[in-house]
Amino acid sequence: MIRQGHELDRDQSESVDVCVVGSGCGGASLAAVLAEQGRSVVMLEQGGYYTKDDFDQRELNMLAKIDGGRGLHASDDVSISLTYGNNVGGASVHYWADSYRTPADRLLEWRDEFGIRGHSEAALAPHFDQIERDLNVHPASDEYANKMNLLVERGARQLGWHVARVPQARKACRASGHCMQGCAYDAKQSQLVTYVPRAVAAGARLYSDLRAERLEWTGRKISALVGRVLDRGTGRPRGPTLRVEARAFVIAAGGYGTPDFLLRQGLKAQLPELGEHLFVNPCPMVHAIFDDDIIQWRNIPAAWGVEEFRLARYQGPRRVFGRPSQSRYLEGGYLFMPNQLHPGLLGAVLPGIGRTNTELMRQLPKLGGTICWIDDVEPGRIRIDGGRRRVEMPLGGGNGERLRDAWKKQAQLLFTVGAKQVLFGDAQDTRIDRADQIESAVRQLSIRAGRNALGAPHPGGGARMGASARDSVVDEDHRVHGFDNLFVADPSVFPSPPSVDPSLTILAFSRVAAAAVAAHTS
Amino acid sequence: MSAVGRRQLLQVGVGGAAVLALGGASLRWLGSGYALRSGEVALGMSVKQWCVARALVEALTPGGDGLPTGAELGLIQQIDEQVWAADDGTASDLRAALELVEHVPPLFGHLGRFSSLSVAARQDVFDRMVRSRRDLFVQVALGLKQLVQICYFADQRVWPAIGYDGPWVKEARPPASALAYQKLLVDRRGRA
Repeated sequence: MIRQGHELDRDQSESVDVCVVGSGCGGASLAAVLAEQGRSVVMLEQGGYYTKDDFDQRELNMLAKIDGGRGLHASDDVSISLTYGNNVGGASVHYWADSYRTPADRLLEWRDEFGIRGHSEAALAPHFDQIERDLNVHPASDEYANKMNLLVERGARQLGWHVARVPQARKACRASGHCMQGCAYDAKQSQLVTYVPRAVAAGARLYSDLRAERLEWTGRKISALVGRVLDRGTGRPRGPTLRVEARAFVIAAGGYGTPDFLLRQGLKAQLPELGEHLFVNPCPMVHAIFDDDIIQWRNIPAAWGVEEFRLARYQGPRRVFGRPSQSRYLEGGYLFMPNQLHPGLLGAVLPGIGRTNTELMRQLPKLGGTICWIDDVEPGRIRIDGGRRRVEMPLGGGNGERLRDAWKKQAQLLFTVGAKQVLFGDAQDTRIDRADQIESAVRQLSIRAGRNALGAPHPGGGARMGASARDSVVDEDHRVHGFDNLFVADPSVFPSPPSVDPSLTILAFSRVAAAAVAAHTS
Repeated sequence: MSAVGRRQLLQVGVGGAAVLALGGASLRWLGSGYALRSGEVALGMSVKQWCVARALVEALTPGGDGLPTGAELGLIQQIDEQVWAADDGTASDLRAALELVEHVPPLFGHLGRFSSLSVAARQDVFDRMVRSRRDLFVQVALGLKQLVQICYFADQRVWPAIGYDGPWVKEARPPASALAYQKLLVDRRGRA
């Protein structure tokens, strides 16, 4: 059963085994597992409930329906646009469907450097097997590669870089290219069409338009959670509340939402690491003008991805997220993908004022580009200031080194496949016409506040996992330190970025969390 | 990273720019001389902010060669809707940004308020803001530019001129926020 906010006109209460806040990859998969095991489950989702008939492929309509902050939220210094879901199914509704297992090297790092147990490659393998079956994860086949994808594949091969088909969670994809606006065909295997309906079919009750506001607890035990119904038209609270009493509470509100919610409970004093260690995968884009039509907006966003630079190379020991290092950075530390933007977002991130900008947009069919997900090494943080969420992300230091290298490698590939002009999209509108200009152009790019159009689609780390409250927020059972029945199941628990799109890692970790919650409620 | 938050920056910036621009002239002057045109209704912005947004739209979306102007598309109303529908913090930032833009031209070689300059002068001010060494001006200019341009290029009346073939499905029921805004707009116009 899914109940939407407008259906609630008076205060309600629920008494269940498990209360889950959030319905994205973390919350929905955990709820499905627990509901199918016979637990009574209530899910609270702050955003609205939409189906494929609501996904009309119009950018402004869809930003208003499914994007947190309507696409207007940014980091504190406006350097990074914050992208997150605000709807039943969470960010999986607007994601690209890229579905990588957590690389074994990153799981080893989490064990060896952060002391994470119970999440090894062997422990997660059966979960990944199950998730991949449930979401029809498979390598992107040839018919899904648009021209930009083919150029990335060709360019990488010419440059001797490792390039591979990107694993995709899709069934009968229509290749419209509107993945970021929500799939109008239910082809993308988001949580909306997979684990949410499975959880509901198994008896879970989901409330949309309902913001979790307050936990009630005594000692180590949470007794209730109180949420408030939001008016979908204004985004503001209206009268009715929902009070949920449960044996276990799971916060799965996403990389931004979970630390935010826990900070608002006043837990920072007893959990000093809460909101710290944030990573976001900042993504620098490079645009290019070609002689021939590219039509970047059709077919799937990323059928081919360059994996050559996923791990950074150093002279000396490899650098670990959040740790100082004396090693000299050489290159890498990002995944490299074709880019896909429709005209609203593309017009917004392309440089130029007035006619300078429109002249670029007149060449839309010939505009291509690439994007990199930077594997952050310098942590940011989330804090609440005067009731408002603040996201601080440093772009200098190790993150800046990786940004510059990603700009260089993108420009290099784009010239290799015949770009006439390469644009960095920065405030100074840096453009170059030849590959021998790359070094000096990138050296002069400023990474000071607000000068580049960077996205941040993969937040996490703000409630990281570890041994004690001195260095972390949750233990290896995903249980919040100091509480018996409060858990976190989303990328907030990752000790560092997973170095690939995080969706499958979130899903697998959430199944581990589900086992701990099941044990608690048995 | 800036040591102070974005909102404080904007607030400081608005005050500082106003002082520099006016040399201590009365605060009343800051809000005078603004009026809506016939048929215009501001729900998310003040009358002054609406006038600045109008000037901004004229500068950033001049149209021509088959492209409509942003004003012809009703972009100012669209921006008002975005401000109205934004959460309190974001709306506050956007309003502060518009106030700042209105009073910065003297810092970039143009005497007068932004909304009173020629379109070419406004484009020059904006271009200088984007290229400024001061973080605040870059942040404000790029933030507003992105808001205007996403609204402009997401409009289907622009697509034929840029070669975009558009969605494959028919338009769905508008977002709840758009319906709520339109209802208020009709109510307000009915009362006028």
